[in-house]
Amino acid sequence: MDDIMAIARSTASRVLHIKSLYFLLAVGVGLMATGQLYGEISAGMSQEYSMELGLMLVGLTGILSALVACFDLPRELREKTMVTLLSKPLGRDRYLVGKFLGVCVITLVTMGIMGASLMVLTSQSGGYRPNLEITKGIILLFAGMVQFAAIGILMGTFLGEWLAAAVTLLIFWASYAMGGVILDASGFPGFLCYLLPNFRVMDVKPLIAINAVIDWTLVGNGVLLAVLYSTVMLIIAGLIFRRKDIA
Amino acid sequence: MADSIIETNGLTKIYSRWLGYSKIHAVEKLDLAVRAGCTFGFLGPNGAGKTTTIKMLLGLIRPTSGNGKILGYPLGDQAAKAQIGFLPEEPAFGRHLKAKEFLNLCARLSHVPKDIRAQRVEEVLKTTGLADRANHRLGEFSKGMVQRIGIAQTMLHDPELLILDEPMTGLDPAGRREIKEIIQGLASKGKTVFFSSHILSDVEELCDYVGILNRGRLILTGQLGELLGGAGMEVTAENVPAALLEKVEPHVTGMQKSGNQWTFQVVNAAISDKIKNILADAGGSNIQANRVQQKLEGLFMKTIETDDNQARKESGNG
Repeated sequence: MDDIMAIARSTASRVLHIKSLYFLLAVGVGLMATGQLYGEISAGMSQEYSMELGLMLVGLTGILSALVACFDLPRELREKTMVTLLSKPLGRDRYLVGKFLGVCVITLVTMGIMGASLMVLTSQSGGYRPNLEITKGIILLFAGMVQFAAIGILMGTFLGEWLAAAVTLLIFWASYAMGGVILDASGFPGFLCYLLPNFRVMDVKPLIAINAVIDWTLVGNGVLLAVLYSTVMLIIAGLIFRRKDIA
Repeated sequence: MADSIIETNGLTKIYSRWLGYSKIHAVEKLDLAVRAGCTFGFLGPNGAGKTTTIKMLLGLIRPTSGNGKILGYPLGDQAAKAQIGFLPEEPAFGRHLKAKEFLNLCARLSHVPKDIRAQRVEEVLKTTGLADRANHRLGEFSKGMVQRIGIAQTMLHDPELLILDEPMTGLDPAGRREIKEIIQGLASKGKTVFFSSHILSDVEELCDYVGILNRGRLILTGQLGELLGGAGMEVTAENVPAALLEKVEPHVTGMQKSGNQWTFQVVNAAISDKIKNILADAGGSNIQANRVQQKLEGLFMKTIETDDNQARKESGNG
């Protein structure tokens, strides 16, 4: 376990050294703050709009952080740092799991910062939005990003950096778009709904915006789905990565 | 070889391109044996297959066919890797990491026990002369320092076998000297050092065994002293009568006079003994026979040239 944690820590530490990450976080918090100005143009629904915008920015930060998963493996292969690491008594599966956990930690940290900022800004604006419901929403968004990161790791095992990112984003878009047809999961697009992650069911922004209560069962199911889906993705990634020549 | 630490049998790597229409034979039927405790120089021109071979030994590249054992384990086995220190060609490590952080990461991955990890990191930093750079980021390191930190990470877990891919490339003479001293130090501790290099004078200085790879095939391997001693013998004598030279000439491959001394080149010890007897019978004095040591560079060039010529003949272009 120590070797997996070492890889996870190294991955997270590298991302934390990217200065543009802090710039993006600052821009995100700034945009969230501007949501408070919507009172002028939202026909009295500024609280709802700013909450939805805030959660959207939390999700966007999650996507940008989880995208590291697509870039990290091909980058380490190109820069040949992977050669040094895999010459150690470290199984390739464990290396992948370490990378995945590192990306999840970074995603959690950045989404956590954005989520905390959203809660502070909401409380400052005086509108009633229970922090517990916001937390549930962020947990579900994070569960979606965990699946996103696992797909990114899988793509990174056999595609180049940009192609892996493009395909992962395409899968994200397709999964999000198909979320609406999951209830009628028969026929061609329906079975894809079971293969692709369903990000839409994890998107509870509109519900939180209207002060609805999010059921813990939904949160639990979302987390369980994320764990199962990511495990399957990582197993497939491991099978591919084991056969890969680290040239 | 009974006590081989590295052993390969018919190890082959063929890269397929364009759905198999184009094939590159990087390594072909490599039978290699490296004795435990020796310093083995793995030589070959660019593209000969040295790095591919090393990566196959470490399980980073899957062989197309053939197999091998390293420290008694199959190639790429984690138990073997735990006893191997590897320096890649043109090493690249996380630029954001400080030297100490990087070595800590490597120590964790190499299963160095937590209680001695910090001590081992300090030790290897000291051995490689980087103790004062422990808290500097690797991105600030010069090429020589990167090479030294690369060597440092190979030594963390006190491995039995060190595999160094071009450890001296790109270093200035002082840097090369430092790396050579480190390798000599490791060899003196009984470690097996297997390294590839283009710098033949360094190999000649450090290695007791060499293997020469060309076009993916091992074309020469053996003890360095024996390989370099195969250039024949020289017999020297003084006061050689001029009339004797005609009698000696058919047996020698060359002869020179310097002052009162004649030097005769012969192909082997038997002929050298025959010449010695002829010279002694004719009244020659101060007669001595010595084995001629050729330089590794000469042996390398000759071996590669012969192999290339043979390949040209075989392909019908020569």
